[in-house]
This record gives sequence, structure tokens and C-alpha cells, in this order.
Amino acid sequence: MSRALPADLDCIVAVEQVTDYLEGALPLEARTEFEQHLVTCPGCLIYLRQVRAQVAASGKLGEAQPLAEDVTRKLLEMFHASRGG
Amino acid sequence: MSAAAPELQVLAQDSHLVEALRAGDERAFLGLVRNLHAAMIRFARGFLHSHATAEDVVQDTWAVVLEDIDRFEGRSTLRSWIFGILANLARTRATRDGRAIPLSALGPEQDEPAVDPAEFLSPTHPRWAGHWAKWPEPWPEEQLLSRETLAHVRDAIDRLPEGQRAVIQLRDVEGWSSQEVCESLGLSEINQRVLLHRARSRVRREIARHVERRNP
Amino acid sequence: MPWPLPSGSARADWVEGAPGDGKGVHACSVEDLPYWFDQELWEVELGGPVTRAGRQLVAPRGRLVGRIAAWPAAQDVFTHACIERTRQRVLEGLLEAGCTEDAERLAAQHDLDAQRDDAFAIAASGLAFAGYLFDAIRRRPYPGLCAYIAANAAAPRDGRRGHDEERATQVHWLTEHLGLTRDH
Repeated sequence: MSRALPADLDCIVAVEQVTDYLEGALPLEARTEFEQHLVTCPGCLIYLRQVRAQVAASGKLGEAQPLAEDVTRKLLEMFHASRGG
Repeated sequence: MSAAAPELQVLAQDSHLVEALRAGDERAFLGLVRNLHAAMIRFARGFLHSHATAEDVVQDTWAVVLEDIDRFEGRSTLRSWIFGILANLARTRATRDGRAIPLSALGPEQDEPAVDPAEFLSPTHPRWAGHWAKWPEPWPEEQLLSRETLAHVRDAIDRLPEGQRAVIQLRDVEGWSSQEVCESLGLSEINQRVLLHRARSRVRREIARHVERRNP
Repeated sequence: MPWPLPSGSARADWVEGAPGDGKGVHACSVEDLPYWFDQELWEVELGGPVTRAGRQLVAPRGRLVGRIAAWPAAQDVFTHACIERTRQRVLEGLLEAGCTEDAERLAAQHDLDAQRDDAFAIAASGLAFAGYLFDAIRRRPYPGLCAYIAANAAAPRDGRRGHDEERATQVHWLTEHLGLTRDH
């Protein structure tokens, strides 16, 4: 096949850039190329959405838990002891 | 709104809190504990794997925090400082308990691709070398957020190498900024990003396997 | 981040981009449209100094002027035109390679799915460039991808020039069919 065209971003490379892209760490040129790749690649667009969805799901694991009473008590004792009172 | 604004807000809130703690304000301390304790246990579990040991180490961390609060300089956020103490204590305890932790635990491992190369067309494909052989399938949202899938996500995170787990835990589970995570774990931005990338890739693979098994 | 919409005769609010090099509002000029379009197409007015960054325009602020109503409906027509041009190129390539039978059979096919299957078979027999027709037909629900395939399909025979000509044809088609004017 003709190699007359400059190499476009392919998917193997694009998936390695997803984290940098989401972090805003891609320089402008690379970011433009990445976004252009998404226009021509529904596969990578789905992949990006999966990663976003995964991050959102992970956030659900970070729920606040109530403190056990004995833990609260112990920590309060520690606190007052350290503050000298 | 610049990216710095939320950080400045947190630091400003922190300085009020630190003052209150130094002044012996019990409610301030309880508030801080309620805010962070569960996340600290979750984080410690990444190094220790026993709830009881994790509780111990978290208690020890609070003790150190109270000892050293007068010396806290506010160059990082309070919680990243606290978690930094926690990480050190947890690692020390893990070593003491006989779980060897290589010094390079927080550094990048050898190259691991985000996606199995078999999922892409080979370099010899005449038109689409390096492209998806088959596009990934969108994940149905209700399925992704179901208890069963979340348990798989939790499990996948738990099985990550220590460095990757620490980063993804703080970034994606606890929602910290990358700056705080770098401060807390003593990582460079690039280092942190590599660990985050690998962690997310491994977890993604687990989710994909689970979701695809349900929807062949 | 959703952009504020214009309402009635009132202009939409400006959206400010983030300050800094390369940051700001990104839009594309008509010439680069085939590289960027998606399900919706909006006309945007850019404010402040506009710089070109590769295939994008960057400006400190922008606001929506109006939606290009004709676009969603025009996608199918657009992709069909891309497919037709790709088919012509494949036919020419087949004739040049002396595969008259294949060319004639393909030229006689009117059903898209049948063309697609024929193209696949021809490619499998060793004439890989015919695969571009298979790809273009298969991916016709995705205009951005279809356009990309059509542009790539022009390269085996005509190299960079062929690629750019196909892209220029696409821009011309869009300008005509969507009533777009060149930017000012």
C-alpha cells in the first residue's frame, strides 16, 4: 500500500493516550490528533467512554462509613491526651 | 475558573482546621476523623490485607498526626499529609509482618500495554494495521453500576500491584486531585500518571471480561 | 460542557476558553469540516484573535450562532457520495490491474450490500485496495469514518494529492449541500 500519507494515529497508540487525554496532559498537537482520531474511530470513542464510566463507578466505592463508637472513644481520648487536657 | 482555585480553597479550609486542632477543638478533630477514617482504612488495606491490622495502623497514624500537628507547615493539604504518614506506617508494618515490599513498589513496572495487542489488527494488515479488530461494546450503565459489577471493580483494584492500587484508590475511588496524590505518595506527575494508566487498564480489562460474560 | 443556546433573535452568550497557550475555544473552519463532524453541526462565531493550530482554530471565546439544520438528514447522502467515489476509484484500479471481469461485475451491482460483499471477495483474492469499498459501505453509519476511508482510498493510486483532492471534494459537497459559506 502507498505510504504517501503521513502516519495517522492508530488505535493501539490511541488507547495508550487515553489517561493523558483525560488528565489534560496531552500537548495541543497530540490532543488535536487524538480528538481527530475519535472522529474517525467509533471503537476508540467507545473505549474512552468506558474508561470514563469506569472512573465514575470507582467513585461509588468511596462512600463514607459511620465510625464505630469504640473507635471514636479511643481517638477522642488520644486527642485530649495529646492536647494536654 | 483556573485549576488552582479548588486547591487554594482546600488549603484555606485546612488552615482553619489546623488552628482548631492545635487549640484542642474536639469537634474539629471528630469532623476530620469522620471525614477521613473510612478512606484511611480502605487505603491501608491496600498494604495490609487484614482489617484489624489496618485499624491498628490508622490509629497509629492519628497518634502521629496529633503529635506532629504543631509542625505541619501547610505546604500540602492536611489530608495528603495524613495519608503520607499512613502510607509510611502501613508499609513499615507490612515489612515488619513479613510481607516484602520492594523499594520500587511505587515505581513503574516494565511495559504493559493497556489493551491486549491481540485485539488489534496486525502490522501486516493492508489497510488498517493497528486498528481495532473488533470495536469494544458499550457497557450498559445499569449493569456497570450494579452491586455485582462494583464488587468486581473493588476486587480488581484490590489485586493491583501496590503502587498502582495506591494511586487508583486515591484518584478514582476517593476522588483526589493528581497534585494531592503526588504530594501524598511522593510521586512525580509523570510517575503518577503511568501508575494510574496501568491501574485503570487492568481494572478495565476485568470489567470488560465480567460485562462480556453476561452479554455474550 | 454544554454551550448556551441562542434563543429567538438574541445571540447566545459567549463562552470563555481557558487562558493559556493553545487553550481556549476550539472550532474548525469549513475547510477542515470533514475531519471533525459528528451528529450535530453548529455555526460558531469566534471572538478575539483567531489562530490556526493544525486542523483547528483556537480563539479566546466563542458563541453559538445557529444549528445547521440540514446536517443530520444530509449524512446519509454524504456517505453515499463518499461510497460512490470510492467505488469509482476501485473500479479504475481494477481496470488498470487488468481485472476486467471483477470490474464489470462490481460496476453492475446496484445493491450496496452486494457491492460490499463483492469488494470483500476481490480484496481477499489479493487486490487489497478493493477492501476500501468494503470498509466504506460497512461504515456508512459513521460519516466521519466514511469520509476518512474515502480519503484513504484515494491514496494507493494518487498518493497525497489524491487524498487531498478527495477531502476537497468532501468540503465542496458540504458547502454546497449545507449552504455553508467560507469563514470570514
